Amino acid sequence: MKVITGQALKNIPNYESQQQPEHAPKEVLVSLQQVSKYYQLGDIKITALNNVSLKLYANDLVVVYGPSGSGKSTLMNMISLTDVADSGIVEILGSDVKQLNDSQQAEFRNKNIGFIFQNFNLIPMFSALENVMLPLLVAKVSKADARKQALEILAQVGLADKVNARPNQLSGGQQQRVAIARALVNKPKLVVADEPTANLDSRSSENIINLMRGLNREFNTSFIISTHDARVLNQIDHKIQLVDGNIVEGDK
Amino acid sequence: MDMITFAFRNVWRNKRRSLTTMAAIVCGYAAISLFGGYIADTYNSLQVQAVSGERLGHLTIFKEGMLKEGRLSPKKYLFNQEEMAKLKEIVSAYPGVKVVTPGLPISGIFNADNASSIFIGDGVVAKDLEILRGDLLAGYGGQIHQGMDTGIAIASDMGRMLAMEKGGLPTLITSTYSGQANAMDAEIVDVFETGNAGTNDKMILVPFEFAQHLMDTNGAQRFVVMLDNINNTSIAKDELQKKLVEAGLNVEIKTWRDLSSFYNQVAGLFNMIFTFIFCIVFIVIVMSIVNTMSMSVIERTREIGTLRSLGFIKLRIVYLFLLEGGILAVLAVGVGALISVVVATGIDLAKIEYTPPNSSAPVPLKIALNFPQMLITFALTLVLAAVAAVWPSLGASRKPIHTALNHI
Repeated sequence: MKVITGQALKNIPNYESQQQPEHAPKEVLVSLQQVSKYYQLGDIKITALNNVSLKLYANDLVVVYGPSGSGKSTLMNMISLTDVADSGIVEILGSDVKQLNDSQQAEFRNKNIGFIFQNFNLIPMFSALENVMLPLLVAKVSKADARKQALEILAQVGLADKVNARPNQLSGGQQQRVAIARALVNKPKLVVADEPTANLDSRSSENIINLMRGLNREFNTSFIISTHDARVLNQIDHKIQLVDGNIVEGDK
Repeated sequence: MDMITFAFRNVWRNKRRSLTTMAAIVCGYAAISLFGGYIADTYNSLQVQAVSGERLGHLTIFKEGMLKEGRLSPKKYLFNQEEMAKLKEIVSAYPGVKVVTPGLPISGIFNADNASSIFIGDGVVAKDLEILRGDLLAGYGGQIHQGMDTGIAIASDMGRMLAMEKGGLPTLITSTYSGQANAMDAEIVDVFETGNAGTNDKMILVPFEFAQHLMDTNGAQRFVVMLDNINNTSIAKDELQKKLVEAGLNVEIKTWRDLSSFYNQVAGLFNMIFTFIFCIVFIVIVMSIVNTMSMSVIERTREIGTLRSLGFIKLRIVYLFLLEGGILAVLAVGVGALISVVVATGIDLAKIEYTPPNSSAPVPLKIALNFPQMLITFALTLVLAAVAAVWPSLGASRKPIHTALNHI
């Protein structure tokens, strides 16, 4: 994925991508055009995203960073179809998300977007294997096929010996590996990772980032990662910096 | 991983809370079932008492107006010999009639050796009385002998009060329908329990012909009809009424429930108590389930967000909680039903006896579990559990996914 955010454009709220990917034409996965999002906090209207425009392309790895309240999570929510913009156009894989109803959005998320959360968000009553099978079963894949695919991907993330373990029997790093396996098992085009290393120690954090980088290459899946973590920033080339709801720096 | 398995595991996620909720449902369901069973047995007993003990049969046929004005001019409302024969012929031919028997009420002074008391009584046909009383009242006495014209049976409290027992020779003094005093000697051949404290000190049974002689009439005040199936009472009433009127007999027919005011009073009281208890128990059950499901939904809001981000639609989230509420209710009701059966059997085997209000003798405490009622209670519990589950889960499923994911 090439992040088409152009040069650093501090204090410019309307930002259009100027830079094209190196090996054009690449598929545009995400396109945000003049997207704004506001939240009401009592009498105060807070601008979480201010006329943000960007395009993300297939098969790349990008990190979104910025201070707390800069709009990282809101941007990730827009891209992952878990929130709706107040203005502007959000297109994911060529579909204007406003045109999709609730069921279509659910199906779209299931097939095209993988999620990795800061707190892993594994289902505690399920084993690692069952957690990974879940998106496949939602997609109506047969139980046998889902099991087979889940076992394969758990092996790829190095958890072949932990398939029957419940989340509370796994370390933080192992739980995040299960979450990564769950995010990838449906072979989505895009994985959205929200602070994936925030609850991990340095070693686990590095392992997880390396794993995502490896899977990004192996699966041809795009990853967009939001983080505060300097260790993550140092390992990933393509970055988007957000300040006060504006993209102020991109693609360093 | 199907939804039922998923829901089943979630039910056991917080074992203590689920078990507490289940305990509330189990106790509530068992209480309703057992009390319902006790009421059902009481109704059965009262029905037997009314139909056989009070000799109301299933239907009683009077001359039209007898119940309104019969006390003022009883003779006017007696069936004569011709009417009696015609009525008996028509009713006996009706399918399902076990017996149709005439009755004549009597009242007056019961004169024992050294004391007297008022009495009320019935003139009954001995062989018909055996059919009317059936096997259910065996052991309670009350049989008068066939072929012994002066053989009578008296209620047990009356016997004790007047120091009379089998073989005693009282004199019955009455006023005939034409207002003349009349007296006849009798012989006590049996002592019985009326089952009712209000009549157990004054009730006697005499042969029908004896009663006719005592009242100086050859008629009958009523005919009692026993059917082979109590459930046909209403149909038989309507059809017999039609047939008898067509035959020129101006009659009115009453069912045993119309005539047994005691049954109706007790049934009314018990129905009210049952409804009251039912409502209280169900409020407790519903509140327990609502509390459990609400807590579960709140605690799992982030999980709901996760499931929705993985592709669950809102309705599927609601369905999941619906299943959880349903599983909780089904398991609890199952255990409640089992406990009800065990307790009912235990009470039956313990042979506990008690004396109900207005009863002349102790009766066994029995629980006749009412399975249709238990099934309805189960269905109601299930529906309420579903509503209790849907309500909070609907709210949670409508939350924006990012809000649900950030829930703390």
